[in-house]
Amino acid sequence: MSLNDYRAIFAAVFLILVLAAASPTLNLIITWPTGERFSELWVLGPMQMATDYPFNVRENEHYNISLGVGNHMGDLEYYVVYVKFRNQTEQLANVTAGTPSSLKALCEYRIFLSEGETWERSITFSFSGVIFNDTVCKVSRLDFDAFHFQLNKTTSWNGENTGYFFQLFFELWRYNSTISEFQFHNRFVSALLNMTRTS
Amino acid sequence: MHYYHRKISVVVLFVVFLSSCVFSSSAEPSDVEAQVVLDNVGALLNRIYLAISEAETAGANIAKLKVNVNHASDLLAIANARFSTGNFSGAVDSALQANESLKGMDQEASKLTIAAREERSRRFQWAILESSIGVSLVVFFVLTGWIYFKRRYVKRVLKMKPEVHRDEP
Repeated sequence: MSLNDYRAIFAAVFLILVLAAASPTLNLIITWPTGERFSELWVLGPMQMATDYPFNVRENEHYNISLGVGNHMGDLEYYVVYVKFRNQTEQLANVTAGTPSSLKALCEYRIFLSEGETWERSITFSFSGVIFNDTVCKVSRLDFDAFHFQLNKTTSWNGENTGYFFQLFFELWRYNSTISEFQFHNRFVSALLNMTRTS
Repeated sequence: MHYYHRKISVVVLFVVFLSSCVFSSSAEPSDVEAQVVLDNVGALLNRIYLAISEAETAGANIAKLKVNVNHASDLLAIANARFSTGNFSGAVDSALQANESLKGMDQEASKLTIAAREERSRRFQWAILESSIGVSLVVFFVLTGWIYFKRRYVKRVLKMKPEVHRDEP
């Protein structure tokens, strides 16, 4: 090997060692690229699996689902999950347009989550005051966890899918510190429920 | 600034609640009064979120604060649920409990932010010192090594005897 070859080897070793020696400072200055930032929202069945979701529901029976939120936004986030209930004709959130449902929330969950954290809660709900009248089903009351909501919500018989359908859905909102307001985070999950007669 | 905002909101909150109890014909707060209390606690929670978020960005350990603030947010959620079922006094009770558990949290978050920033600044100074010493040592040893190696290399080359090859016809 010639002297120039040795010089190149020394230069490479020098560069590597300088970078290693400067790494404590470089680590504090350089911001490493992060992955995609997103939030999770999920609803699971009673066994905390994506199966056995309550579908055919009856008056005065209790049903369990599990609701979860995950934060992968890179920082501490302040979320609100709004719980809403609709019949087949009422507006659902529109993810394509990024708009929430115009329905009033029955209740909410407020959650502070750091990056990488998840929150999960088991929810129990039941219906009472269910009246079937010709082709219409009316639900008077929803018991959701410890709360009792007067609904007086009606739905018509759906001949195509054969059922009286309602939907319990959860919208994820996130606090936007720039505008100091909660904004719909373009995510919602739901449980489709077919109200059936008590035999 | 946050401290004074919070003080004002707490004062407004209690004035509204007490006036509803003392001056109205019934002890039950109206929906408007309950809504004001709920809005104030909601605004306080938003401000505390910003303070905690700032502390976390500064590198503070916010685990304890988060437990308290999640407890307060649960209470506010209960207050809102009670409000939507028409239980206004229950809603105000829960909102005031949330307000109570948020007491002093913005100051706590500010203290953590300042401490974290000081710690970060100290760490940065140490890192610069460590890097400076490290780079100086690298420069010294690599240069010394190169000079030593080069001398040995040149000496070795000079000691070499030329080989003479006879050209074959």
